[in-house]
Amino acid sequence: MIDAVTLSLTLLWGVAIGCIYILMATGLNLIFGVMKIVNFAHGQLLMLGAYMCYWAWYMLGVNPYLAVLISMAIVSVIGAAVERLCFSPIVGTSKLNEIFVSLGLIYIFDYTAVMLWTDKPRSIVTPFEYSTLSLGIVAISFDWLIAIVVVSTILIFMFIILTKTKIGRAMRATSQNREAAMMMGINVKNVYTASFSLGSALAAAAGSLFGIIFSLDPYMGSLPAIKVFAIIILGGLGSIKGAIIGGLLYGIAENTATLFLGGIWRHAVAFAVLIVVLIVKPTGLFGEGR
Amino acid sequence: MNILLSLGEIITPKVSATILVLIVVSIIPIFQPSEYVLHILILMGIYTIYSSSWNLLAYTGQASLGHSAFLGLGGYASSLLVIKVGVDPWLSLLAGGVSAAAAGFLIGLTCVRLREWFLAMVTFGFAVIAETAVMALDWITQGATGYATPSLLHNRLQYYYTTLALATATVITIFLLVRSKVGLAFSAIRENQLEAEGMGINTVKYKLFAFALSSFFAGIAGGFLVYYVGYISNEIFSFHHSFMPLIMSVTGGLNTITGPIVGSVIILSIWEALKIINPIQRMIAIGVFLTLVVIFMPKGLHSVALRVIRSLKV
Repeated sequence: MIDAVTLSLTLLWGVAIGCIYILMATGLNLIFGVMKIVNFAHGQLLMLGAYMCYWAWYMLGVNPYLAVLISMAIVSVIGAAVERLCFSPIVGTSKLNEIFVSLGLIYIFDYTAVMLWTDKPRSIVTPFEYSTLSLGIVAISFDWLIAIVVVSTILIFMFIILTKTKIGRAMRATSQNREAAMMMGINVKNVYTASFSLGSALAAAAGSLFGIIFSLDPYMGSLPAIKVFAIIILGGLGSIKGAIIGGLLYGIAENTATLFLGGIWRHAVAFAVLIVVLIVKPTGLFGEGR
Repeated sequence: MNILLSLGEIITPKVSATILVLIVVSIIPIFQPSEYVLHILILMGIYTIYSSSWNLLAYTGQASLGHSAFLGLGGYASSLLVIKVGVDPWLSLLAGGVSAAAAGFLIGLTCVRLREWFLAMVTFGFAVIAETAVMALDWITQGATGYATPSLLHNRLQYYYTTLALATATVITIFLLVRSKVGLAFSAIRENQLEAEGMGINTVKYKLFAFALSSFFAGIAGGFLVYYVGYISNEIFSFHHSFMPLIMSVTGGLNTITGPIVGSVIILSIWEALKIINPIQRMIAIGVFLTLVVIFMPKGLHSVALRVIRSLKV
């Protein structure tokens, strides 16, 4: 029988994973909102982020949570380069080209990582690995709690960047109307690069947390990326609120499915939720009809 | 005189080119190619059917990211019918296509209201669900272990000519369809759905028809692939199989009849040629190739070929 402790742990577990999804979804959504393109290789940025965090922790011996910042900085630079080299030439062309270029990037990043770092799974050990916080009947790992706090902090920072800074305003202007933004003297190309790089940094943070909570290997990115894509579709493309609710919904749905139906249903249930939502509302939960 | 004139009308450059290509491919076995070369040619044929089926759906503006669901369904349905029920293998091939078409029709029903990415994600989801179903029904399908299938033909040469016949039939059917009034409706829906509706085109009906027919061909390709390889497991639903027809069609030229054919020949050739380097480097090289194709030829190799032909004419 499934008791209250297992159930509440499953829900908490779902929230923790949901938080990682939210970080990635927000990044993808930002890139989509500004550039109107979808980067299927977002999961590879997550993978790179996880490795950067791992190496910063392993080689330099810094605290893993400090390493998250280092990893975000490095991956944002990589993201900017990817945008300039691969996505900038195809902005505004066919949707299939985006899928195509992302597939190419997936192969390049995944197998370069295998070549450089082998496909051996690794894990990041934090100082709090074995400490738990007792909450009435359940004891939860400190790392999960910290992950939730880190995600919330990053989201708040991101909100401040988008609303208070000049580049954030430029991003919002570009996402609303590209031509008008150009006429206001905004360098749209730079805004594209900035948003892509900010999105990549969010993916790196997600990857680092993923590496801390679970483990990392070169193929870790593909499945979360496609799920996160499903999440932003579910929430409605471009909607930040949708990304947050969708991320939590997915994290919880997946884990309860694993608990009640067994592990093989984990991914199928996540997509079944998406299909049901889209049958009822074809533009997603919070999507604007277009 | 009249007969000669009408012959001249029928034998346009396109028709003669097609006949020439068909003659060349049918006499290839005379030069006694190695088993390996024959094997690659058979795979190219099967992938031509599969990519053409994907491309047919793309004609209506519906880009599927989960076509492996139909490939796998065709494969499982036909081989299971032979093993468990004892149906004739050839009949089972047809049955596999029909069951894929039925599934395609149902999936199409959930997709008619969806656009672009929404549609792509839902089709992708159905492929994941199909794989899960196969894993859950492991008492029939033997899940990840898979099972060996009975063979359809005796040797590679027979497979070669059968593949050629199937691929030709598929491509010609799709060609005739696309050229007909139905094809015009498909293009109209792709270019502007609202206007198509305004012209009195029943978009739902045409989209569902495209879905069912596309899945039918994908199912046939799946059944034949499984009989040829002699083995099936949940691997058939992999991302790789879903993205392959897209990669091939876009490389060859989207929404063209020749696109999927050219694409499957090019992609499989590159894939085989890259076998000289180690597997990891091969994947990186494929990635670089895909990225470069899109950056430098956003309209596929087809557009480059057209440009070359045009410059030759002038």
